[in-house]
Amino acid sequence: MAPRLSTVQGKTIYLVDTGFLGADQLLQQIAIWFQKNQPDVKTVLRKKAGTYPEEDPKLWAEIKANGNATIMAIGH
Amino acid sequence: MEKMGIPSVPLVTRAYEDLAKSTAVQRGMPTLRIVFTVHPIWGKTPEELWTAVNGPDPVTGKPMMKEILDDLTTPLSSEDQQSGLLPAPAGPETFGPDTLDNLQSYFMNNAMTDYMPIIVPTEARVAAMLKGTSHQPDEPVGRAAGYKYNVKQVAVNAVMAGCDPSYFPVILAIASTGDLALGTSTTSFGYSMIINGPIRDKLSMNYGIGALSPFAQSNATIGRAWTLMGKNLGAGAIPGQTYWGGQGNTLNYNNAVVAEDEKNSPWTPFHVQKGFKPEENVVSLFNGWDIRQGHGAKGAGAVLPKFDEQISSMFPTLTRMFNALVICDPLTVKALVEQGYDTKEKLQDWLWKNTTISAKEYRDSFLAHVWLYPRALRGEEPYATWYKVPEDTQIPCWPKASDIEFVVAGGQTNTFFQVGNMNYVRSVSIDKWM
Repeated sequence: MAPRLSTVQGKTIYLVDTGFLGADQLLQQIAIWFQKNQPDVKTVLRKKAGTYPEEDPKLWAEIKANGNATIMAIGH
Repeated sequence: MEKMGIPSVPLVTRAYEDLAKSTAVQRGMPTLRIVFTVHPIWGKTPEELWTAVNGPDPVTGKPMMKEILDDLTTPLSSEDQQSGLLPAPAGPETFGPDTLDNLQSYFMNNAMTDYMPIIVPTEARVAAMLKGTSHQPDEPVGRAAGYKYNVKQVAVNAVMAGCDPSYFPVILAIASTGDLALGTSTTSFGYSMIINGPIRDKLSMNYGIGALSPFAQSNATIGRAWTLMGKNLGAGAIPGQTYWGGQGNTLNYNNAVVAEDEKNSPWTPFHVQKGFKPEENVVSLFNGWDIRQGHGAKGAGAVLPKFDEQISSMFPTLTRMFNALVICDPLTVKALVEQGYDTKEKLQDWLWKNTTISAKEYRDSFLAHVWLYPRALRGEEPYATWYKVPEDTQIPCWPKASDIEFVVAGGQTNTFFQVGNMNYVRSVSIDKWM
């Protein structure tokens, strides 16, 4: 497992939609939660390409370059 | 993400707690910090989702967002830094000795059966089953959901199902794929298989009258063994933990076992279509949702029925997530040949070109957004085009003609057919397991 962040403040968290039904809407609410409760966290909403079990190397490279953490939804 | 050095939290609905945790173990991260939310997410309003986001993780009880932030920031423990597979408890190697009734109850009460009496797998019976193959008892056969199993473990399930040792190579071939019946999905999958080759007659398989009904020990118990393996190998199909089929599927009792009537069909046998030689013994697996009677087709009661049109009329009623498996009685095949379809491929081609639905209907079909739309987004054809054309554009039901499969079985009492909403998964050699 990757080392954890010392804090989320000032960090960029990718909210990754795996494509299963409802994931995008759940992540939108999570993005709103961060805006209200942790406004110094930047959230980036992205939909993973392909069907939900498939990898998305382009998105992974973007997250590696620009992100500090991810929340990935939804397992069903 | 974790292996890339990006701390991540997978968010999973609580229905998949056991599956998520076992998958984490299989990926070498046994303490992966998974957060759970309510199930289902699909169909909830923004207000309901807001409540869920601000509510607790239904598995841990902790406030969900606090748990996510803690999981991203709490330093890894020494346990977190371990990786690799954890050994899964296998359960007892033997049972008893006890009375037959007590052993029946034990197996049933521990969810190892299909709730019908089993043939209790005594050491003598398992030893007899093992004689049905040249492979050694401890030889690995396959793996499912991260669990490995060997020849002897498969033999136990074959005994329980009531198989004769001569059926064992078929059971081993099925087990070797790792495609066990009783999948996890909330949509309640059903399964079917096609058996080809001389082994059909060797095992007295029925492909005549009542081909899909319980009229042969081989058909009945081979299918049953597939279900029992789904319960006892792999993740165990435990309702509410590793089996989430909302309504279940009656096919699960013994799956649809179709021995193809190669003798009475002028068409190429299924396994030969898949590249095997006619004399090879092959089992081909399918998964999907259902098999329905052709009696409901448009024109089924016509004085001079046209079977290509009848089959075609049923296709728009199938979901786009699965393909079509058409099971034709030899009499129906004869009628189709008289219509000009002397090969399966000619009929596939006609059906594919002449059975269409609107683009809107395609896009609105169940799970198209999950399985098909993502393929369109990355430019995969024909999906990319199908999602761009006007809604009323007529498009084929499936991407290619070969998504429509045919098999021949039936007792020629009448010109019937059945249509399965089933995906072809794979064909494997039975001969390898002799």
